[in-house]
Amino acid sequence: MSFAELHARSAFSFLRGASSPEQMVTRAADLGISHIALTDRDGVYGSARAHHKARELGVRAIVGAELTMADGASQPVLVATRTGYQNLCQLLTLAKLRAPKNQSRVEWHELEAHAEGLIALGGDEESPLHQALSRDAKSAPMVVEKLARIFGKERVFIELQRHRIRGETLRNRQLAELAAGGGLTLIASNGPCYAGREGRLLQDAFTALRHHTNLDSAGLLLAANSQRHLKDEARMCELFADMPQLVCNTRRVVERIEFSLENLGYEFPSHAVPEGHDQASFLREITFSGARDRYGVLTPAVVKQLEHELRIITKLGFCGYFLIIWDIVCFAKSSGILVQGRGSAANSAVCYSLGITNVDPVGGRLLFERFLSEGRSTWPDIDLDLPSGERRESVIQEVYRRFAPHGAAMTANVITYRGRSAMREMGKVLGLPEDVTARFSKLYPHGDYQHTLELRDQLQRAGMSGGHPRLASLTRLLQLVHGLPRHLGQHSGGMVLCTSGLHKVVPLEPASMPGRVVVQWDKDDCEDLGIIKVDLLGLGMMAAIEDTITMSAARGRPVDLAKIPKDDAPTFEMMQQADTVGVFQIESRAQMATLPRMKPKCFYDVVIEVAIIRPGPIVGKLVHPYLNRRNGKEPIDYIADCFEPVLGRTLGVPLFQEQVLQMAMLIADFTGSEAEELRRAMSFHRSDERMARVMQKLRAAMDRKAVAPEVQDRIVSSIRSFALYGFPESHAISFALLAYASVWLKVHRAVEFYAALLNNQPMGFYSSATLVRDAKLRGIQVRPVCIVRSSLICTAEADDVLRLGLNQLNGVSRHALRRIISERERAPWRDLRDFLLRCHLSKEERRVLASSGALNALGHHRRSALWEVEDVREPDLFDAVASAATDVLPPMSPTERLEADYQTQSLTTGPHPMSYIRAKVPRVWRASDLAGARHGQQVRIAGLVICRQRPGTAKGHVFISLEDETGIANAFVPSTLFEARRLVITQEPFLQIQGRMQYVDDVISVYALQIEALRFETVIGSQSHDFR
Amino acid sequence: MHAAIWLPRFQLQAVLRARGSCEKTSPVALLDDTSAGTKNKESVLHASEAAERAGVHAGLTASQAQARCAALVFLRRDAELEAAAQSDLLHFASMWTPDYESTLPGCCVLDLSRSHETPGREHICGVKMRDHLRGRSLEARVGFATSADLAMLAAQAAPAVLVLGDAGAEASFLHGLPVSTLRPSAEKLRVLSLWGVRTLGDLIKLPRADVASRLGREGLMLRDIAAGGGGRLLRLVREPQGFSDEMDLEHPVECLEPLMFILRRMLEGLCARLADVWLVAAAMVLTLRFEDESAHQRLLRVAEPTRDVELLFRVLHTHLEGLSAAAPMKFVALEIQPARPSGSQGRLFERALRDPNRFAETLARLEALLGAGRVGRACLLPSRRADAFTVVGFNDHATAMPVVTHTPAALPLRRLRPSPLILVRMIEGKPGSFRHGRHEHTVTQVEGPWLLSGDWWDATMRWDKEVWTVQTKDGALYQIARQDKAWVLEGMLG
Repeated sequence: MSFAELHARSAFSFLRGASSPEQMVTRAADLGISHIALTDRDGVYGSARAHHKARELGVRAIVGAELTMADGASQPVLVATRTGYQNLCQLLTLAKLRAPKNQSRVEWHELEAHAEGLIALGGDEESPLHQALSRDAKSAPMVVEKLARIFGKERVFIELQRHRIRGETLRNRQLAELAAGGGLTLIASNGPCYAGREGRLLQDAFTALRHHTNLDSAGLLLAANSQRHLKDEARMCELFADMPQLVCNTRRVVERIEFSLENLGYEFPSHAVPEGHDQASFLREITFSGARDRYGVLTPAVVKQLEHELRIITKLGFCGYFLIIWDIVCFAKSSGILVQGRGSAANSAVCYSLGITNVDPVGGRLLFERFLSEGRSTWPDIDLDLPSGERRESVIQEVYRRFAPHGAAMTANVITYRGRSAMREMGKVLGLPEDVTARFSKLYPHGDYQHTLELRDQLQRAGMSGGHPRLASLTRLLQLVHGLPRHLGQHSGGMVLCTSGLHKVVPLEPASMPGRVVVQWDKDDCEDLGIIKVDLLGLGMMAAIEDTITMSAARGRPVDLAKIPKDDAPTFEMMQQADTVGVFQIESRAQMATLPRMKPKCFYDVVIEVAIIRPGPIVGKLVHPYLNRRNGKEPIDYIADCFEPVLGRTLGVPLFQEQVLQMAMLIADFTGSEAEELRRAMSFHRSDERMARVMQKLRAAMDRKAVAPEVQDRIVSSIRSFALYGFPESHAISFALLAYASVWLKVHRAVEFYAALLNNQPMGFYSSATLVRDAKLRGIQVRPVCIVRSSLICTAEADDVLRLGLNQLNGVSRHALRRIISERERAPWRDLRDFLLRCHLSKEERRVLASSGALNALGHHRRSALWEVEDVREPDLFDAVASAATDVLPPMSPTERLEADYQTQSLTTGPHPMSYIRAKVPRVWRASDLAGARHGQQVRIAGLVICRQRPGTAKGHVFISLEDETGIANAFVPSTLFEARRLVITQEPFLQIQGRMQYVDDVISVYALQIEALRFETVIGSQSHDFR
Repeated sequence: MHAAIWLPRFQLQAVLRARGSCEKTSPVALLDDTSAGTKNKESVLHASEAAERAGVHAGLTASQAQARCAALVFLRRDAELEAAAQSDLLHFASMWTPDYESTLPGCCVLDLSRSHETPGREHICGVKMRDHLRGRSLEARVGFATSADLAMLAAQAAPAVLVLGDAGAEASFLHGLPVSTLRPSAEKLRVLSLWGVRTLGDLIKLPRADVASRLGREGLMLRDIAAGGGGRLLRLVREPQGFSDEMDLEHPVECLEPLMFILRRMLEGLCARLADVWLVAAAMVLTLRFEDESAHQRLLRVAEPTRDVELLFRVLHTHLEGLSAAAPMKFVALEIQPARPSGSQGRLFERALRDPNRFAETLARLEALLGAGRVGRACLLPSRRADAFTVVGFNDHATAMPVVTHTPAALPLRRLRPSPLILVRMIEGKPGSFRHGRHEHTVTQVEGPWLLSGDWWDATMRWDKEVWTVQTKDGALYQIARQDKAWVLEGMLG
């Protein structure tokens, strides 16, 4: 084969291409095209994906880009050498970082300075050459000369494209003459913008979107036909039958290209070390020093493990990486920021010794090879959990500072077209009425296509008639656009680092958030290409724990997280009772439903609890076998006898990635590298094929070892269930540490813990209102916001008294709150008028304070305060006369106070809303009474909806949690009932559910048979945890 | 004495009135995207009684409303229908008294102090008013009181008709009314709601001076109204001066001449009225009604606004010459839309018409001959579909549309419209010869195919074609095309 497609665009050209890089490469492979160059607009966004797919399919992906020049034309370039690649990355970084987001302009002199190692193409309709021909044919030779001068004649190629459009013959003739005149080589290209013919539909839709119009009005902006798809050599030869050499000439270009992303030239970062040390010796020194602090006495087992790990780390050249992470952790700790490593790093004794993780892998017998092995081709994965918010941002900014300039950036997060965004934009280009798209969004939040309704039916329910002439196009467009990149965001915490200039490795561009820079690849791409990454993740719970510790210390009851007992009976008792509202991980509805069956008795039970309620084990139907075996209801089965040592601790059920890897090593004699390949296949969530290939290998190996087919099936099925949601044991342990610590704090430092949770909202599964109700059920007195006593944040007034902070008030600015505090510190308030005159609050802020009852301590009730805050006048001579009676208005009634509480704080310290209407619904069971119902009994529950969930693993069924004054009642809603009552369930804040009691292993729930709205006179705007 | 007529759920009534009665008993909600409190979201403005019974009320979003009532039918506000309903209401008011006020959409207040009919018979008058409006498909409530604002309150509180007489009765009646009936601004309503002031009785309990210091002028006014005071003058509705004339014909007219005679007389009168106020006629609306109950109405634009009777007469004459009717005419009306005489100079580089009115007259003659909408300039649409064009009036200054440009050196194509069907014989995938009628053409050279397709997103409009340029033995160049599996001869090149 001699034809190579050298000028293709993918959807990463953002609205200029309509197929993903993977689709383009796959199609190229199907057509027998051996080389394909992806030249996306102003970036190499899709190059890593194309490279990976191409390597898999035996195609070669060439890196390139279309550069938007200062005059608006776009100059396509291909990367020939590594220098060329570095030049391209630097050029794009330069152009992107100085322009607003999503824009880029390259000056010709900059291109000239970075032209080495690049090949230029000319002739595409948006290229400077073509534009010169359209503008003034006489200026075209000058463009040819300019290109030849910048790149050299041998590195400029003129491409001819034939799309069967009248007029192109003449243009191609002009281009051929220019090439002949300038001594340049002509090549053939189809300039594909999509893989197959059908891609034209989406390309037209994207064109309309790009020009902010719809298809009906786009007119001549749209394509004339569907010819800009990938074409094979035969089709290209047919198109260029009169100039066959043009097809062959593409080979001449390919011959000049040496570069591929395999040879990215990325160098591992190093860390500055003291004189007399190299990276390895310094790491060794601080590791052993840290180990002595951590372990006290270094046992032979510990020393052996450390030596083993240090040998591998040094051999693989990762010392600098460990030192950098250690440095970040040291910075965080020295700044008083709680930090904890998670991920597979917790398998490393070196990480434990360096203070990066808090799990002792020697004691826990964790598999170091899961973290690092000689067979691995990629970097080890260390994730650092930090308190969310400003504290995490300070660490991120410190990393930017240390690697400045161009040494650190966030990884990108590719935002793709999904249900609602796809519907909104495709509906817009098709000119559909806005109410159809709006209703679609309302009916199908989060675009839940796949569950119980076909897309066509969903569209019809949203108001599209079955016979609508555009229904077929809409359906097709939605399918085509689903999953394609829409825009580039930034990953929540993934940073890539390089000490020798990251901008030579991948182009950098500004993020929407000020002070942030992102690379053009997402974290999978970076990992795939061996770029070092550290995840600086923000965890609300870390912030809450840190605040709890600070508050406890201030109140004279300090807590040392490292020293809290791991066998605290009250802590386990609380877990066994599923009394876990507010704690880390094990607070969700599903976790709470499992805890009474699991009955955790030791720390490792918490690890399993964290790991078992995950999509992997749920889809793999592993939850019930484990719980049944644990409760002695079914015998332990190890699948194969040889698995007993591996699966013993999880009763024969593979729950962790490490176990799966060890199983493969045992049953199929997988080597370390093969196990690594399996791990990558499991964690690389974009490729089903990759998984299929590894499975094939596994089966072949098992066949060789004569493993029984049914055993093979069970092994393959348990591995497959991990494919999407693999959870390493070390990760589970790190999370379990936080989960255990949070439960311990809830038991022993309850007031401080609840205060910290409220201060760090939004976080976790429950709203502030539910947390307050939970605190009250635990006997804590929650006192309302008070202008005299409340701090800015919620505080503990006594061991069983929590005072809400001013931060709980909605609609009062942070600035105003600080002013209130500073004025109060200056002098206590004399009276309400004194407060109002000193604080200069806005009218709305004054009303919120009065309405919430925060001003009551100044001698008022809420209404009289509301009366007073409307009259803020400076005192004058007649003040004494003017101050008329303040008790003009009667106090608020209890329900009025409830409404005001929810409006001003989204919570109430008074009775639960349900208690006000309890008498009106006599047949409704209270949540706490449900324990007395028998299995199968018909019951009716009602309350405030605090959670609506429709997990992907539940086949469209829905779980609803209703809160009343006594607790939470859970209901299971079958998918048919959900579809019938979709709007009532999703729109009504209070529900009444009639159903059948289900009582399984101490876990109670109601199987819903009928659902209706419970009308509540008071307007309550509570927040629920919906479909997240 | 003042009377207030209030149409509850006015915007909904206006829409339902136009849709017939079937939806009046079914659950219906009127959506509004401008109501306060819901940014960029459509919310319910009014709900019918059936919908209210199902729990739907104003302020809910469309989805929330539908959650409460699955059978709910959504309607949208219609400004034209609301204007028509308001106009009907005011017209009705004008039949009672010339002194009336268009207070709010769906509400008007009548000053009946000059009426001799009402004193002592208010209730009967109210019932009459209601019945009359019901005949026009409008449900009304009527209130009578000594002041305009009190009458409005009475109307809003009335089950059907309410007459407020002595002060004591007024006070007890007023105290129970919700404070929203005073129609305070959104902010004041919010403050009152925060204070727990729900009725007028609650409001008047507040010290007047304190209300003034807290709610300002508006608050004071609200309190005074609530206390039964606050008389004010009505902002009376006065008909704008009209330039129309109409005539019910005693003897039906069957031919043009007598009609033209009537129209000339009407024109003379109307032009004299125009001259009085220094205006000219920009357009005329001619309405004719015939004995078979059919009607003819036409807007006739005047190319260059004038009040020259002869000129305007010619415009009417030209139009009527092309009109034929099935029955004799029994009614004629002529309305002139006035404009200020143009004082502007023509543009320097724009060639003006020597006589725009004559040009317009010629166009009118052509249109009378060819039919409405068939005279004007052809404007190419920005589309690749062959012959995609639209007709715009000669006087309409349509925005410049991009036109399909052929490559500079392309030969001109002489299109055949409609394109005749031809038979094409393909040789090795290319046209080898074609037959057009009885003529067989052998193709010596071909260029193409050029592939074109478009409008794929609409099943009723999509098209797809393949175009070839062929040269025949005699050296002629043709453009042929295959569309929907049929070949056509599109034209000749050169």
